[in-house]
Amino acid sequence: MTFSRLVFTAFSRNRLRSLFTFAAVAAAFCLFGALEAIRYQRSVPGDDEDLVVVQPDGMGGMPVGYEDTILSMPGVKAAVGLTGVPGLNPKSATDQLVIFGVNAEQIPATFLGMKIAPEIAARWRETRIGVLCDERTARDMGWHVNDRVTVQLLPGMTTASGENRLELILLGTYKNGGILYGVLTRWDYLTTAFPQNNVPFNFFVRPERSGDGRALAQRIDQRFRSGVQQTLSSPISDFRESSARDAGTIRMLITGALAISFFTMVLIVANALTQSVRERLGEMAVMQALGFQERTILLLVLAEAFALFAAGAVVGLVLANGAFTFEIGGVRSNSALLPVHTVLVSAAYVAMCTLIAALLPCWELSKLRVADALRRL
Amino acid sequence: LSASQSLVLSWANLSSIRTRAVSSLVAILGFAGVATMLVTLLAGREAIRVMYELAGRDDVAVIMAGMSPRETSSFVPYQLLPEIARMPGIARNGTGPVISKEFVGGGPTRLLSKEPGRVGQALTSRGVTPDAFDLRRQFRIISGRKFGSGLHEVIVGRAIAENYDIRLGDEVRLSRTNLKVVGMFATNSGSAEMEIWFDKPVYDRLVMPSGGPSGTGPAPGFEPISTLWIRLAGPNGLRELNAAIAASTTDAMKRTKIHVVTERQLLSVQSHDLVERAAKAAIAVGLVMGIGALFGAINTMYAAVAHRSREIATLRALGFQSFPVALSVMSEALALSLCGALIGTALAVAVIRQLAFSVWNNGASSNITLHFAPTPGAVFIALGYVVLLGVISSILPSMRALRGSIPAGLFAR
Repeated sequence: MTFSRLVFTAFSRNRLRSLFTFAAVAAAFCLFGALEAIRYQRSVPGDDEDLVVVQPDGMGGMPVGYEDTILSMPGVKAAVGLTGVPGLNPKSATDQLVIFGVNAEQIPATFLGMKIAPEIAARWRETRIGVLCDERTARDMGWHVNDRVTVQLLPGMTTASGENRLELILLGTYKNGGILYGVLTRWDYLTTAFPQNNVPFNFFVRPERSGDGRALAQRIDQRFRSGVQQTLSSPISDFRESSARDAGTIRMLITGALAISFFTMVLIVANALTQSVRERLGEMAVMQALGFQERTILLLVLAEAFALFAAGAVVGLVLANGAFTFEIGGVRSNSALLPVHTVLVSAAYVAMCTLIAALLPCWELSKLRVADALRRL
Repeated sequence: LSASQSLVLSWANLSSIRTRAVSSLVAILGFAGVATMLVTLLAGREAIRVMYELAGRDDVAVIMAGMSPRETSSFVPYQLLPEIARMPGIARNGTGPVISKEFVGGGPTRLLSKEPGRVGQALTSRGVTPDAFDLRRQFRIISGRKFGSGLHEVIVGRAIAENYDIRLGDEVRLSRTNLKVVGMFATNSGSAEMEIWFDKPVYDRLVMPSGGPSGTGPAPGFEPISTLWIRLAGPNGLRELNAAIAASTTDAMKRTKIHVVTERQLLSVQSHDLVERAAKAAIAVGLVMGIGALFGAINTMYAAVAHRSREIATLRALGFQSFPVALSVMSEALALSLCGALIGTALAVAVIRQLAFSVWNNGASSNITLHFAPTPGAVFIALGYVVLLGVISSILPSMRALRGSIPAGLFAR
């Protein structure tokens, strides 16, 4: 109790300095929280990392019968083909709202990352004009579950019944963060509305055993070598590796921003702590004269540094969570909360920064000659 | 008198910065960090603008169908070609109207993978006609030659070649056919350098074979066209062409929403979201890092005022006015921030000039590789912002310097 009171008394000696130092720490952790969360979200393999993507070797899509052929192959747990029509996105002049046509039976087992609840999947199988939509798109569009939604098609595009729009019912939403996002309709409904649009342009295949993706991809290509359309299949991890290579400089920039930010923050705290300790050298000499051990006084400085970093980190991460959730800074996030990983790494950084920032003041304190300091009082 | 007092006091104060070296260095490093990141992020935004917004011209236009700004989403009915070619507003040369029919596939062309068992990188490809070379800003072959007419040959944009280490003689694959890379080209606009260019008749044959998976081939005479790139006939060309399209009574012209945009408009729309996102990122990072550096600098300036409390009290006791004393504190903050800003911008400019980065441009459906463009504008914005932070950081410490009691200051230890 006395120890913690001593720590907080030290802060209240120069409230403004403490406040500004704390604010600098909070700013650095805010930046760290938001950037690290985005980096982590992009780099961590998700539930759909095992999927194999089957693409046509050339243009024109693949026959729809390929889905059954793939499903009958050994080592395949689930597979789904993807067709799609472009719709107008009322929220963007440049982005389209793609309406995918999929096999509703296969989607939940193929895209585990979507976390489609069994009751929603069952309802979807019973509702022909039912759709599922990712949480972010639903939020952007202002759609709610059970809403009747109208999707306007591109100009000049009409359904078999001559309509320029699709009337659908939103049955549920699915998690963002996977490789697929947008409006999912049932394949049988979409092909009735657009009879010419029955050619899947991709198949996604979930192998029975994790890690079998590459071998399965080769078997699929082998299987369709003499088919109407040859295929090019690869595990989704290949795409992640490729995009990670492309994003190398951006990643370096993020690391640079964090390094600079933390370096500056540690210097600011170290400087403030050193000033604070210098101002209190006499006081600390009195404490030693009264019987406080040198180790206790060093611990006091360490505790001050820790309290500053910990409080700053908490406030910074709360602010980062806000920035992350509300996508401030133009970077899209897939969840409303910072990943646990980011919070844990922050805790490690708090410990590391505490030790580094307290080094200089502790070193100065260790050189303290009690008699000299008392004489200067 | 006040001006000369300000100069003398500021100079005296700056000369004594050495005695506060550590805390001053902390402030300088904080400011330098902000300047470095801000210049880098703004240079990224400028790179996108240089590639798109600033590169577009008003004498070149693109005829598109539909509402999307993406060429990959546009399909101009080939039956409309003769009518469009007769329209006013299109420049003409000795052989007729300057029109390049182009077909953009949007990624079916792949590099041959160097690792067995892996699928090669998909790249954006474009079938072009001879006028395309004259319609791109400063189009030039930088190595090799143009593709031969009717041959399975391609030319590759410089950015894509650098990004994926493509060399002359390499092969790319499209629709089960391997094509040889015979040239590399460079342009000064848009994302053309991120594309592979084919002879259009060859490209059409490869991507629209007779009889696909649906069992139906293209109709006789069918020619896939995404967009028509044209040169406008003078400053009124766009207006005349727009009027002619609007006056057309052809059903397909209205149904497919044929419209014309200048290259400047097209590139600006394609890059709008990307530029906006880059600007948001620069503002967010600059603001948060700036706040951190600002508070560090305020601490430094408070320490400086505390260090000079006896000197300031003496000056005030001698009758020095408040303004020169406050200005001497501000000049220190200004000097520190300027020093940090110059170091930070110099560091950023030196490092990022050689760096390239890749981003996905959703507006153009293309992955683009850009070189950072640390323009004078980006540098001045960063300098100005950091110096402003410096000035702000000195306000509270200056007030403390002036409000402190003179006797207390005189006896300060």
